[in-house]
Amino acid sequence: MKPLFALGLLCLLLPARGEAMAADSFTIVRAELLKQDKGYALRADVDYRFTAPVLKALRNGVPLTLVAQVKVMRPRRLWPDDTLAEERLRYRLRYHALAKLYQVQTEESGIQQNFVSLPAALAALGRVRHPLDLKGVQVYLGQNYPVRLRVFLELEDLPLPLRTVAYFTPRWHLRSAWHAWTYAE
Amino acid sequence: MDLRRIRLPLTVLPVLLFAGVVLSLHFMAEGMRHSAELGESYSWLLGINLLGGGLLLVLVGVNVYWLLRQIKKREAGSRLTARMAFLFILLTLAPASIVYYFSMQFLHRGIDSWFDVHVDQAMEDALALGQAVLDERTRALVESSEQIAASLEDASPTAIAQRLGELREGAGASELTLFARQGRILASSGAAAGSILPSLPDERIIMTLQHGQPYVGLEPAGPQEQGMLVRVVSRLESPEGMFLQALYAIPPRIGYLAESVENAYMHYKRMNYLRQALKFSFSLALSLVLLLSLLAAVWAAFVSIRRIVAPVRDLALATQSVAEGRYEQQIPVQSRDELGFLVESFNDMTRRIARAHDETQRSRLEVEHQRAYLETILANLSSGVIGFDALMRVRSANQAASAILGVDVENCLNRPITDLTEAHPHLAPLTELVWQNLTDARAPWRREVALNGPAGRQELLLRGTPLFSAWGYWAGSVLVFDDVTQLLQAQRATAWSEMARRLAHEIKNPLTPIQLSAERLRHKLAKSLSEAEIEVLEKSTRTIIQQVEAMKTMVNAFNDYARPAKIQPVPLDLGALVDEIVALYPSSSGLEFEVEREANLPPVLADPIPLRQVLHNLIKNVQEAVGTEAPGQISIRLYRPEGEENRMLAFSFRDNGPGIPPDLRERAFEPYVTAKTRGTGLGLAIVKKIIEEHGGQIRIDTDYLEGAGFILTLPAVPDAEAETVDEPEPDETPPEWG
Repeated sequence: MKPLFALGLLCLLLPARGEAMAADSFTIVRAELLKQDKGYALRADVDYRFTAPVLKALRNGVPLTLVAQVKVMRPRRLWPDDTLAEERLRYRLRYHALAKLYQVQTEESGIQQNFVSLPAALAALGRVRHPLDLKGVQVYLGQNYPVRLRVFLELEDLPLPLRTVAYFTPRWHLRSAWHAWTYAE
Repeated sequence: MDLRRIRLPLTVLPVLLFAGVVLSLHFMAEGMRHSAELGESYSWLLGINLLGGGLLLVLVGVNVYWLLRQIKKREAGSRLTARMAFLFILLTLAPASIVYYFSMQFLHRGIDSWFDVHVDQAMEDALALGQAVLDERTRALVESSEQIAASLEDASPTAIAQRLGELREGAGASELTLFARQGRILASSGAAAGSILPSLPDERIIMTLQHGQPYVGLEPAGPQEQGMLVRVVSRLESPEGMFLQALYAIPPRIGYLAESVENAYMHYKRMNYLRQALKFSFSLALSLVLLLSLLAAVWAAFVSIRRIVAPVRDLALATQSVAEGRYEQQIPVQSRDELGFLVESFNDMTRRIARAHDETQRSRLEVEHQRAYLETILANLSSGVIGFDALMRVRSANQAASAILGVDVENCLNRPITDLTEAHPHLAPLTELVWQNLTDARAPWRREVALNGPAGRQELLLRGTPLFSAWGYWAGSVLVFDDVTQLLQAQRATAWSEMARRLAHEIKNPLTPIQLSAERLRHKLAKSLSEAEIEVLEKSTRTIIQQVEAMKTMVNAFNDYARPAKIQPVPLDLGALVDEIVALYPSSSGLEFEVEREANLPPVLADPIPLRQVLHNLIKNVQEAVGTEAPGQISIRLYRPEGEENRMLAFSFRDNGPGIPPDLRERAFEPYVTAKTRGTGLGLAIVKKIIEEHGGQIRIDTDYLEGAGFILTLPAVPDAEAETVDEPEPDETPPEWG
């Protein structure tokens, strides 16, 4: 019975350590939801700090996928908030050896930017200016809507062999805490 | 834990689980090869495998725990299960470990062999070569771009905008853009009609341009376009701070080759980097496969061993039950193999044992019945039966044996019969005779023996039969004996009666003619004879007549003795009768009486007339024995005899005469047996006859040694009938006969 108990304990500990790492890695400095002519836009500033193994993987040609997950909620009494809309913005960061460039690509639009240095690429990544298509969301005047945002490194997009290692290595679990604010029209 | 109840899910569930795990393992392995297709579900597959492994581990753990508990409780079959499980696991583990070890070796070496120092260097060189080729080309492009920039330095922006297209075509650039410091585009000229907005360099490039050196960079054409671009940015020597960016397309052939080199290089570099991770992943997959296979094998081993051992365990339990005496044990036959055959044979055996046991029980009961039956017969036999074993010890004795001998023979069980003599010396003649015959005789024997016990003389007829076992060995002996005292006495009495009857008949008839003839002789001859002759005649005839009278009296007495009894018993107060008889003998008769009686004596059932004769005969006996010299002293005592208080009344009669000589004691009650000079010798015989006709007994009081003593017993009237007691009629005179 003891090994089983130890295994259970390990399963509980692994994500907890991942959460602990999140505080050090990515930080959402500022975030807001803006109303535009057509729909809404997300504007956020994120401070990305990669750990050494992640940087090493990037320089060795492993493309990284960063995801910004935004949720618009509807508050409910005595009940968890209802998710009105959820969107995941995916960015791809890779290193080009021949040109010695860092390429940032927005997956949805396909827009690609080249940067000669990683800080430039990360600074560009950290400036999130993205239109949001909140389909079917009825936003009422005077009503407060909690909005939550977080960014994390998507492990599922890593090459398979690396994924196994990443699952079991806390330094690969890069994510920010949920950044929450209230939006009202 | 009741495993039997959850057996079905335990068998079906893990099989499904194992199948699922194997399937997911397969997908996982596939996923390693074609990461695009199954890559997304890789983590799920890994999770499923880990979960399956965990479940299998739990199953195995439960089984091990169950087995340990069984062993601790020392349950049947647990040790066999443990041994088989150990063997099974060992057999599974050993080859699996070897295969695992070598697989790991091959895996690691195989992966390492993909990467080579030479290939590494070749890849680096290829990239360097590509870069050198491109550098050569870009250097020329930078020069041409610098010339354009120098030619535009003094021109106004409007002039520049007009000349830009011309300059672009001259330099062979695909795009030429003039822009200000904040990325404000002043003029632009592009070869492709579609491109509306020129792409500007990032701010950091512009920062580097402050130092005067132009920027040159190679970059991929973009997601939609193929090939590569060379970007050259130069600073114009003008106060406004303008920049000129020229984009040159690399020829497609070179672009394609450069891209190919770049892709191959990156791929190789990535693979090289992922080498450790790849090893880890493959090792993990292999370990998972091995672990799951092992766990599944161990679990399957437990299940199958339990199935195999189940009949053995049942057999062990059933054997234990049979050993404890529960023979009706049937085990369900679950298989058709050797074990099933064994179980069937066991069932057959227990059936037979149960049947044999039942039969034994039945025959034992039968024997018991037979024994009880024989015991009942023996108990109700009037003959005494004593069984002896091979060591000549008493093995059994019936009640009649104890009754006849007057001792409890059961006390002498498993001891030699001679032990009886210690407490009962009067049995010595019997025990000695029996012992002697037991030791000597190997054939049936027959003896008579007389005992002088406290209750008088006893005549016993003994018959001994040796017993032999089924194999012909001497196994003991059985002694059958009867008390023939009464029988012998009755025989004698009958003989005497017959003789007396004949005597009376034969003698009495000629007596009357003799008497008459004598009287007639006297009468006829008296006239013709002389005085002296007459006197002689008178004397002779008188003698004849007197003797004939005496003979008649004697014959009458015989007749009385021989006459069949006509007794009419009535309840009678024996004490009153005794008083009445005693009163008839005054002190002048030369007799002194001493009568003693217990209080509340019951009446006896007797005919008063013959009983009077009994008393007269006894008293007369004393008179005759004592004679006239000394006064006769008679002591009479009435009491209840010991052991028969309610049934009998005893009557002790003692005198002070010379007593009965010991040699006459045995036959004192037979006719003509007497020590006296006077009397007929029939007195005691008649007394005995009368007493026995009343159902009583008379014997000589052997404890009394100062004279003759008799003890008479008569049946007493039961208490309920003792209401009407006949007073004895007064008797005037003592009887003549006796």
